[in-house]
Amino acid sequence: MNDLIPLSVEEIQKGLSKKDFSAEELTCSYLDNIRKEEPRICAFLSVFEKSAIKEAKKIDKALKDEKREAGILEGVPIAIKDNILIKGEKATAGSKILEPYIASYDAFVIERLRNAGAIFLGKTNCDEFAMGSSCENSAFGPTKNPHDTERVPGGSSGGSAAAIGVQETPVALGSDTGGSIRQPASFCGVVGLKPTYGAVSRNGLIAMASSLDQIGPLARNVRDAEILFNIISGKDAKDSTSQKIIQKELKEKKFIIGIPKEYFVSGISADVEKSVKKAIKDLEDAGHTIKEINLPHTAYALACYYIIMPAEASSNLARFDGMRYGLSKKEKNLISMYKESRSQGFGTEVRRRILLGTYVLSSGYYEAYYERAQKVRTLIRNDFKSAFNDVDLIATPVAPTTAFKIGEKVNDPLAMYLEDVYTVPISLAGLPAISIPCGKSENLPIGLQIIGKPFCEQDLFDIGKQYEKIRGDI
Amino acid sequence: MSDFNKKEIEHLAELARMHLDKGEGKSLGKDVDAILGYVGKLSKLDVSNISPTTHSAELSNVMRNDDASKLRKKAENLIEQFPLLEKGYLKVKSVFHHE
Repeated sequence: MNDLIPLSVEEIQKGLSKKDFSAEELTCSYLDNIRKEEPRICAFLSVFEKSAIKEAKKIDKALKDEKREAGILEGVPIAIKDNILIKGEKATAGSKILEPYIASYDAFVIERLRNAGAIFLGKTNCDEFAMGSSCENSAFGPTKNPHDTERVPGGSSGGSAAAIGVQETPVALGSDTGGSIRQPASFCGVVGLKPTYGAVSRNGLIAMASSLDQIGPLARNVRDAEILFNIISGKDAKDSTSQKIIQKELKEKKFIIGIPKEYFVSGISADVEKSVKKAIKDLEDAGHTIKEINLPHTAYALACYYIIMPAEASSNLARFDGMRYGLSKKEKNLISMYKESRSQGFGTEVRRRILLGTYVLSSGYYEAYYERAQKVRTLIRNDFKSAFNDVDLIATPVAPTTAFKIGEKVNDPLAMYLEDVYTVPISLAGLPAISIPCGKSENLPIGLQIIGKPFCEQDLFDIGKQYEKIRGDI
Repeated sequence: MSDFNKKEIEHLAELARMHLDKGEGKSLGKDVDAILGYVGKLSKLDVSNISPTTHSAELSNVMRNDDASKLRKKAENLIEQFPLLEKGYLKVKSVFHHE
């Protein structure tokens, strides 16, 4: 590994400003690593070797000509999950139905990153349409966990998490609907943030469940994730749910941290429980106040999620009809063209969720399923609202287990869905949450999840950075 | 909870404009049935006085300027993606047909 690879975003900025190295050298170091690791890890669906080097050269020239220091993300290589659009590049979202598709515009977050001078290394693998917790549902083959290539990297942003874990990129973007940033971050031993619903524009993100989807950063440390979040967040006229965020600078605040006892029940592995409890104890020893809290409707969150998400996904995926873009099968009439394109284009898990969503939205079942789930969603939100009257933050595990074996859960959808048991309640409530590595079990990383109040990402960064200092290197 | 028979799952597939491979109706029916069995636990909760949450952003009536002209170039980029194109129009199979 070369000297430039371990550098943090701020160290990159310093190095580029002082001309210790060039953006081209940095980009080439990562491209070399990608070439070396990809046969083993399969984190990328496409790599932009030429355009990345071209952009890096442009930055080197601009810094030299304009005799100035580098901007915070200028020259920093980044990998992008393949369900986020970069103009002129493929955006498959891990699906065959989008294999022929070339993005016709930049997502809002890509525009922001481009303006900041970030260098796009390529697009990362994910479960098809972000539906999965293991990356095994990608139509283009699974990504492997860098800590054990017989295991999954988590999902759906598994490509982004694995790419950081194996040093193919310093930072990446993912998307999280029910845990798709946090769980792979936990499995790959990296930091991942799911922002508050509305903190980051969804414009240019291929939609799965629109009331839940959020784009967020993955990084090696909390500070890098914070820098990325500050660039991509904020109001965008093209996403009416996005909101202006008021940033407040926090420095080592002492927090009151709630521990929900419903998150430490049967199903959690002993090592995960031990690691997370140790992290909580460490925070207490550092002067934070720990308080036991109740989130009484936790046991209903996963059931609620597995009605709302497929309902929204089945509606969103109705746009893939073979008619306007993507895979299109030539058939004798319109209906069979729809059916043939959708049947050949969508994989099994996507079809499973479309059928489920179609069912819960059909007349006669709507009230019993979808409407009831929306009401339960209110109860889950209220649980968090009342808990946050007494505490600043809530700490839990990210996932009940460490990375599982490839193939272990792929034929048992319910077992796979249980992977999301600690992450979906937060998504339903629209809250921000960060996943931070807090230990290992037999060389496999474990993640600590810290949940904040709406639009209080700064609290998560502050506690995260404090925790990293206590924890030290893993 | 309803047991999904072959006919019901095929009806759902029809509604969702998909067809199922041989044997797939049975396995997907079994999966959907198991998932519905699991999510059925919500019926234990009393939600009679609870209003539904459609999304968590506390916003209403978000407006923007009607500036369609700015989208012109973007529209051209979208048209380029049409699988079948004739004189700048999207071409599809006839909607009405005789079997």
